Amino acid sequence: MKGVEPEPEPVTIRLEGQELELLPEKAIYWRRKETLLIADLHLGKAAAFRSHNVPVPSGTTEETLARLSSCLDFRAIRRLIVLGDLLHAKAGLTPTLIDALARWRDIHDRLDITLVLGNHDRLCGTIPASLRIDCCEDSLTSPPFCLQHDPAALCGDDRYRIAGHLHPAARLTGLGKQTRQFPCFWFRRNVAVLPAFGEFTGSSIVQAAPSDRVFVIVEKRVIKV
Amino acid sequence: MTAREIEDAVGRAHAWFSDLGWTPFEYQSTVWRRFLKGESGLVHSATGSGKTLAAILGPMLAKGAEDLQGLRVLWITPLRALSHDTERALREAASVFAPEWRVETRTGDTPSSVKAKQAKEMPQILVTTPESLNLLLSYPHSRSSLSAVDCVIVDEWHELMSSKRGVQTELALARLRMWNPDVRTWGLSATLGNLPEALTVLMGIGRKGSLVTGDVPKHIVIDTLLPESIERFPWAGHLGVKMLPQVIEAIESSCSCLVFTNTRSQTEIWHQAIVTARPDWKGVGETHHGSLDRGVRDAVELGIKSGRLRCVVCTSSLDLGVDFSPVDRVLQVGSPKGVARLLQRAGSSGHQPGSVSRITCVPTFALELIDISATRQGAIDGRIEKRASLSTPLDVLAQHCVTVALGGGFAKNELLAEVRTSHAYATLTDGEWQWTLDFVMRGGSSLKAYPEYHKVIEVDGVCRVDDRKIGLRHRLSIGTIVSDAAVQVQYVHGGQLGSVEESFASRLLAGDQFLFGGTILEFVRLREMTCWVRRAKKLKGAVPRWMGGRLPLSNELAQSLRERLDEAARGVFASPEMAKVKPLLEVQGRWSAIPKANELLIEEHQSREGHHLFIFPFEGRLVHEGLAALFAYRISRRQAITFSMAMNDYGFELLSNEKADVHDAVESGLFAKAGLLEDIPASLNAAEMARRQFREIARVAGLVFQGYPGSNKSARQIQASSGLFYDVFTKYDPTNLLLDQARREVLERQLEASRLVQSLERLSRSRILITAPSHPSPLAFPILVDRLRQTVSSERVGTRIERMALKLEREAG
Repeated sequence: MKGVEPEPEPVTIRLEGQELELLPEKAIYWRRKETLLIADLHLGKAAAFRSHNVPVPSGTTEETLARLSSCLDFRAIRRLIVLGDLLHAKAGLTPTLIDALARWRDIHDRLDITLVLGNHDRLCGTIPASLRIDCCEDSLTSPPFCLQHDPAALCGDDRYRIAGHLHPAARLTGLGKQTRQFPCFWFRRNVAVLPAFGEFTGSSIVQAAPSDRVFVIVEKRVIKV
Repeated sequence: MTAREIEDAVGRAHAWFSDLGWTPFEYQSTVWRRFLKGESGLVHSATGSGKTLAAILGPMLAKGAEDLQGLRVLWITPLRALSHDTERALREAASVFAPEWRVETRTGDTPSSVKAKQAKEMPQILVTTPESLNLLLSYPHSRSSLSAVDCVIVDEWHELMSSKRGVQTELALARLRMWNPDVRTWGLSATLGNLPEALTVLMGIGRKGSLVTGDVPKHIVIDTLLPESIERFPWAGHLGVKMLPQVIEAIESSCSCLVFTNTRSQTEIWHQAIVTARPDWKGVGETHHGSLDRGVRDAVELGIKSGRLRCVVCTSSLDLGVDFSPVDRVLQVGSPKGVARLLQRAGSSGHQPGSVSRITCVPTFALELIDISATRQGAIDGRIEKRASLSTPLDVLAQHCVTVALGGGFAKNELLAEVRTSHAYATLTDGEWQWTLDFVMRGGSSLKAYPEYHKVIEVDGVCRVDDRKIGLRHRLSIGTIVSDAAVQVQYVHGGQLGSVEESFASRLLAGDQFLFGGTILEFVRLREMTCWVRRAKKLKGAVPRWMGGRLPLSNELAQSLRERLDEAARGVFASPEMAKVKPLLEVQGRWSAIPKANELLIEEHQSREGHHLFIFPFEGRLVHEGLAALFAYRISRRQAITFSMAMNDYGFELLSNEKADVHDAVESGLFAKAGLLEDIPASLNAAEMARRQFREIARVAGLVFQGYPGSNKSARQIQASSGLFYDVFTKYDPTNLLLDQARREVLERQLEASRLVQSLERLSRSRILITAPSHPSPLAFPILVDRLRQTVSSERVGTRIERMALKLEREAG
């Protein structure tokens, strides 16, 4: 589902001497390394629900993968790093899902994909080899960053960490006592947290400290608050 | 039974009464006779006038010498709390008229050993709740254990009929009537504005019944503890205990006193204030509300009955039919919000025949004096509230289909015919039925893909559930009473106290204190759905509030209220309450205006917060919620503007950064009926009310469930919030009828759309008074300080974020 709207302006931030672009598709584009960072796709979540007889319409997986493709299509990207929870549950690994993933992989066959295993991935068993996804256990060092799933886990060194897991959202308040909730990128002193990439994922409100930088995603735009 | 046999049977009942030195009321004999003739009906009379005996003696007198195996009488009660009392009363009667009959209870509290015994051999009378009855219907042997039932008594039908639990009851009745067409149904109800409708709903389609009035004369006194000086009495707020000295005095002058409040937190605050002022009442003054543990509530109820307790501060948890003979006075703190509620609460006192029921109202802020005066006048005029019955809630139907599929299975056409005999589904369309079947069999409309889903399957024309796990989960989630997820309150060193809403518990920080069950507790931690606490020594700081119902003003009361203000505008202050509040209304008149019955007052006011527009239709909170959204939407279509809204029972506020052109809005059809059907849903979408309403639907329809006890990881993997479901359906299956239902429920139940349309009509005929007071007026002030708000906007969200300088909520410091 590629839209015809003009491409949104990227928001670029500097972190540890690196320039990172925050994409409204809920991904970070690390131009110098030709790398795209995403987290928490939870693919197969809807199917897992359905297999437990909780009705969730299909279409969320296709939408998630289509959005991922649209991130990849217009940019020089050689490597995709998923910061955990690519998959949701074993029950969701249906033939349909594996098929959809395989077809998507064929389109992006030259892409390197690395998955830092998340808590959900670990319960899903081995990822089919045909998808050619490198898995790494706890964290992946990609200087100057340490890439991981759970932002609370400490990596061995003092590197700045980039993680997922929390599905962060920010609650904004305004004049007239309005409040609204939006998914966000959350940059703290030692760690950054990406919003959940998947379509069928919830979010939870994070309490930002005064020194934190928070960027909310509103209608295909990234806005600093 | 022949006429002769009937008179003999009624004679036996009369003989028993006279042995005890009593005479049956006329209406009781009427109910017995009609029952014995095979008729059904609805009995309405005041609490404590012998409705239980009126209902139960019929089936007992009808009992022949025939084989007594099996369940004969189902007694359905809305509250587990009532089941103990009812069981005892029924046993007493059975010991005389049907000594060989067993009377038992089956509710969520019944131990599984008793349930297992009942599965083997049912008692002859079973006291149960709508949920437990539905559970019975979900077992494969349901037909054999329930088909001998020939009498169903529904207690407190007025309470049930306007809820989804009432719909559950209607569906269960339809099933029982299919199995035994001769089953007789008797409902018991308190006074209601629409008793004939209550009767029709209970009887179902094609069945007749009669109304029986328990004509027991009762004198009710409604008076008020007046504040000494209105000038120093607060203009707003619900927490004030300014009237404490007068309340203490009133309790002192009575033997046993119930103090009703409108919210649980108010209950705690008043109890704390009372025992602080009178430490000697510590053991004889208690609290009672729905959050408290069952055991604690039972002990308090027993204490009232035995006359041991001097005063109990309570909420509507004590509203229903509990017979407390020693109580000789009732206090009502805050606005009673409805005529029927006030009368019902008054009825808790003066139970002895011939004695007077007395209810004394205690205002907590100035304007409540007007409410009280209006309620009394409403009671004198006999304007009792109606209860609306529900029509075609598909979530309950979906739940019922799974229940019946579990309980032996169903053939589609037979079940359709059966559910259409219930009042709630009499107008169920073929399309809605097909969709509901698709929903339980395929997950949703067959046009939308829901692979892997197969809850109910059809084999040889019979729809059933084959997966044991589905049955387990369905039974755990049966029940339509939905409240915010509750967490247990428990001492770190053992001892459960009750439960509070999760949303409240999750806001507490370690060391925070709150009042609960009359005890000051210190919050320790929240873990595994348990709020761990320890006893605190001394209360410091503010009392956190937890939710628990904001009652809206009833339509009948709203009308009476407008009449009182109309009188005030003409200088008539007829009641003591109105005379007391006169100085404040005079301030209102000087600063702005007092609206007459044919006028609509709009106040414009500017403050640091922005531009305030206060509009006073006096229609009650629910209608104001709808009107506020509608007006905000209509104004925002004429100018780019974002409103936040607040409302109370008197009016609502639209607050914006820019000034709204209200003159222009009024002239260009702010109250117009044209376009209303499009404007209401459009304004609703903006207010996200349907998304909130979907919470309840998602639980009833089995989308989300509270989880198994001790749920594990794999159970957590299939949990999602109802909001997420709502979003996914909206995007990927927009024709899902449950979304439709959410919108409909918001319209009918939350916004009372028909009332909304009526009030718009009234407003469009009204003279519009627009004033611009320099201070918030006495009428506006309570809305100004209310903090529950929502937003309506015509601007793109992105624009708003930048333009409105929305600020991120951050941790302090």
